[in-house]
Amino acid sequence: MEMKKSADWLSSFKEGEKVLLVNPSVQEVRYAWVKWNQPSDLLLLSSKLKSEQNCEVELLDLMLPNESGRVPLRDLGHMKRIRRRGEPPFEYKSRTYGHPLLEAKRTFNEVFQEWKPDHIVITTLTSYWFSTLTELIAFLRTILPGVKVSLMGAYPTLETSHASRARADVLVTDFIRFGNYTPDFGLYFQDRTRMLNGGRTIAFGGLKYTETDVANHLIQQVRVLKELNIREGVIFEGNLFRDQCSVLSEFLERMDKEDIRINLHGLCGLEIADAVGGIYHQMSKGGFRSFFLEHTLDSDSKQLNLDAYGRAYDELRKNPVRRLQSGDLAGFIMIGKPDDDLHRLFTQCFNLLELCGSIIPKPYTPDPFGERELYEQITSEGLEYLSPHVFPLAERNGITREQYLDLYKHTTFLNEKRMGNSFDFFDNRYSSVALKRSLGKKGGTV
Amino acid sequence: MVQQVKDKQQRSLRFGGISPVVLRELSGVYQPFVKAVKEMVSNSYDADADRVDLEFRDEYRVLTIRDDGNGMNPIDFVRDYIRIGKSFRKDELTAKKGRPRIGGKGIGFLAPARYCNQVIIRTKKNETSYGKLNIEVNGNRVDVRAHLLQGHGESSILDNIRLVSIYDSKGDLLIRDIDKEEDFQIVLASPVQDMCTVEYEFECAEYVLTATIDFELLFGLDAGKSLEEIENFCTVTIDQVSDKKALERSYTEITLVGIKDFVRNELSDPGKKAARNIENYGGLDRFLWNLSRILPVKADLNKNLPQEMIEFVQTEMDGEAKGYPIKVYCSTEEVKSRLLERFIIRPSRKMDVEFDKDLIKLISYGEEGEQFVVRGFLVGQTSTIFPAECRGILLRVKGVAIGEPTYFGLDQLLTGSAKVALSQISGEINILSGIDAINDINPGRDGFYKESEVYNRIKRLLVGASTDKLQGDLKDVIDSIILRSEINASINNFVKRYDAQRNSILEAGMAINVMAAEWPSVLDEFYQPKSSYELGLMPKVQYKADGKLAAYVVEIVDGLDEDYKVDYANKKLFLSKHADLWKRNILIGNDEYTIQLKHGKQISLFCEVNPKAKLIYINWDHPMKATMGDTGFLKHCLASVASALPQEQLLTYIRLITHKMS
Repeated sequence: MEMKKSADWLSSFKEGEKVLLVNPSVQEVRYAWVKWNQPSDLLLLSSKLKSEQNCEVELLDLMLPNESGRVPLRDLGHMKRIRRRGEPPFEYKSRTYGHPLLEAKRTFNEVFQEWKPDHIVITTLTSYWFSTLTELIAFLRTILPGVKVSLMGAYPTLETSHASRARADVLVTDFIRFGNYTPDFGLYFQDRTRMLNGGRTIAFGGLKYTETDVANHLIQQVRVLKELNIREGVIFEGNLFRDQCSVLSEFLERMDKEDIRINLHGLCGLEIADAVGGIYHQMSKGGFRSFFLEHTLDSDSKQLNLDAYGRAYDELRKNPVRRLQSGDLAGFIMIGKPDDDLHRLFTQCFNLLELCGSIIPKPYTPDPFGERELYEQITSEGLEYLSPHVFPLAERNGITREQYLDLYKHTTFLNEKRMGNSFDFFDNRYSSVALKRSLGKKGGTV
Repeated sequence: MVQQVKDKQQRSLRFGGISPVVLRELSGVYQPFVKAVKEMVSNSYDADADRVDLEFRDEYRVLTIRDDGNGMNPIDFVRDYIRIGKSFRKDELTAKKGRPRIGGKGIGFLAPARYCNQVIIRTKKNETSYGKLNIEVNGNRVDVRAHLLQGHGESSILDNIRLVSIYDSKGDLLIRDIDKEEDFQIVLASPVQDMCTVEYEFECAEYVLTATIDFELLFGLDAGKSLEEIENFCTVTIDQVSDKKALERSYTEITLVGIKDFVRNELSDPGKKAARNIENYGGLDRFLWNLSRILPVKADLNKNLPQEMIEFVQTEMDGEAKGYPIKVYCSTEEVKSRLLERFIIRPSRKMDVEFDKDLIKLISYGEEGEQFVVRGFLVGQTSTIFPAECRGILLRVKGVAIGEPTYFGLDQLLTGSAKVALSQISGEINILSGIDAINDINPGRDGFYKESEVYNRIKRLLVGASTDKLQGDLKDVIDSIILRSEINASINNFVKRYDAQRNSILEAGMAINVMAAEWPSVLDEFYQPKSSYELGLMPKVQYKADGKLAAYVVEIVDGLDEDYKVDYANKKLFLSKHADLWKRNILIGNDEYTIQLKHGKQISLFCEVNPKAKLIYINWDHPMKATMGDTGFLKHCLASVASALPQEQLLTYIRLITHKMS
């Protein structure tokens, strides 16, 4: 097995090489935002390899939602156990999300008989989604013996030593800089890729900020989506409002000027503290249909930054360009942090409900770079313990997991998205069914 | 540029001696609408048109059928088109393209009568026409003028007509090279009382005829009244063109105006989505599908049909190289012009004349120029054919379909699997010569008369003379389908068995590697060499089929596109060397091992691993296999290695597990 920095690894691709990109299944407690998840790094890599090495690229995306809009799940009764020093082991339910390999084996073989890849590249979105990788690699190496397998993404980068057990041929040990490359959305519509994915394809486009000339590149991405008849998009970017919203504003102006229409969804990166006046109005006019505001606190009081939320509220609810549907304005609330205070969280929930009409709990994961010590504390007890859905910092901060789950239930009660599937994690027990029924009466928000 | 002829009047045509009831009856032979359109396109075919455009407008209220065929001059129109029956028997082949003529019985103008209020015909012929007129002569003067102007009365055309010769009814020449007679009055040397034929030349390129037939008026008349009472069921105007480009063109354009609501509803019907026949298509698509099936248009030959058959259909049946098929395009306000291609069965898999010779029959009776010439094909499938309308054998005469597909009565006669097999057969038989449209085919071309000798001859060739003893190509295909169905059931079991084995190996490999990531020791036993391998010396287990496949020889071969192929004729089953389905490789750590199944009846071991050769021997004769099946036993063997079970010490365990009450 080799470990390579991305620059060396990329230079090892040969001209015209046949590359199979794979987005693997994952094991998780729950898997939300299925419609919006997309292996952006693979789509960027596809653009880069096609452009620089003239590679033939195909994609196997095991996480594509099926017709019902859900990613299939299995191993429902699977229990994971975390052994903790000096404490009783902690068990939690974990499911496998993704399309089963054996079911589609015949299709894979049909494709591979006609088009055998020279190189398989598997990505990993997080540093703790690894348990399905060994299985996947064994499977691919058995049906495609002799084909080189590379593993890239967060897992081999952040957990290189652990990732060496996955038996890939190459581990890419840092993140790839894609410069001004944009995602290759068309990859999903290639004949072989469609066949590998059982005819499934994407219904939305995950747009990315490039290094320079961002607005122009965003416009290009939108044009590609329109050519592919994809009418929905989301911009995957840490902070959409960076640089006084200048980038976003320029992009929206161009959309308006060139009369390009697409439904955009602000699902991430709405760091409202950085928002400038009029930006929500401009976003709404430019095609944004939903606004999920990042959890934003006053640095001193640790209470919600009401000014920032208020600005969003004023522009979107009080003076709307178009009427927002129920659930299209929501506020994230970060839970599971080391300094969580239950009373404060509940208060923030009520405030968010008032300001946004909908609350989305977002479990917290420590930043592996900025909070290295905390990250390592958790991983020392097991890498999968990093999953924010098991609340790894619970109890250490005085809040039990049960209390976190109660908070979840509480937000569900409050949520306008009560009829949706996003929080359907109660396993259809009596309480869950009763809860859904009672909420289904549409009594309004509590 | 179009100019009206000086002093031109609209002329009206009358019918004489035919009851409106008869006309109504005659128009009824073109049912449904698609057959009426077919009749009009058939006329274009006979007029040597390369291309016909069907253009629906105004939400299916109007249809224009435009061709680039020979067109008609005013005399042709009155004599050949707007009349019941033909004036002269035409040649078997068309003049320019030499196509076998497919025109009907000379009542074509009535084809659209039931489906629209009015038909407007606009036609022009760019050539010197050589025509004939039958004139009853009584005396020595023959008045040709009245005959030339009959129906249109446009005397200016006489300037461009030259009389050539006159014959009596025996064909004896009365005058050759007639000089231009005064006002088209021929004076014979002696009096004659006979039906004579006058030949003439007509330079007609500058005349465009426009005729409007009013069907509402024609059929609105009481049955008791005479058609002679209708003065203007067809109005004719003749215009002159002088523009060079316009002069060079020949064409006929027929516009159906006021298409009736029941036709429009059918054409705009959205289709039944759950239907498994062409009812599934929308109304227009259904219309075009049917039209393509009944016209001599190019066949849409699916890539899964063997090349030999594709060439046979194109060359022998359709005469593509000779330019026989006509190009028919259709457009609407919403749909751009679309070329019609005849639907031919689309096999679900690639067929091969050698491997599928029992299912594909290319039928060829008689040689070109002989009295009876038939070309056709039968294709059997191993599953029911969809759309349902494609099942059965479609009989065609010179490319035009006659009625619905047939099984020559076998659908009434056969039962059980033989009857089921009929729904898996599709075919076409094209009778290229030997047919008499009047004696063999019923009006409207709905089918053959039962007494038709040609029909019965084809039936004898395909299913035999007696229903007690069926024989012939169709019978052979039915037998082959039944046999294949039985063999395929065995193949499915065979494939399932090996697929399950493959999955079992894959799952075991994945499990071993997942465990090895946590506990590397599970790999240890796979790397422990032995001094000798008992199972290694034993013979390998060969791929073996059972059931109906038991007699088949199984061979692993290179170069197959599919996982396997059956040679039904030679009783062989070929397995692709490269198909994953038959492979037994397994990933152990970073190494690829191969599992070999061995006959080891006398050996007590489940399996042995030879790390040097990267082989895992599995004792396929071990009694434990019978207790847990193939897949369970494979996993058991691999698990026994991974968990380092002492196989030699498990005698008690094995005896207990395998013990059966005597």
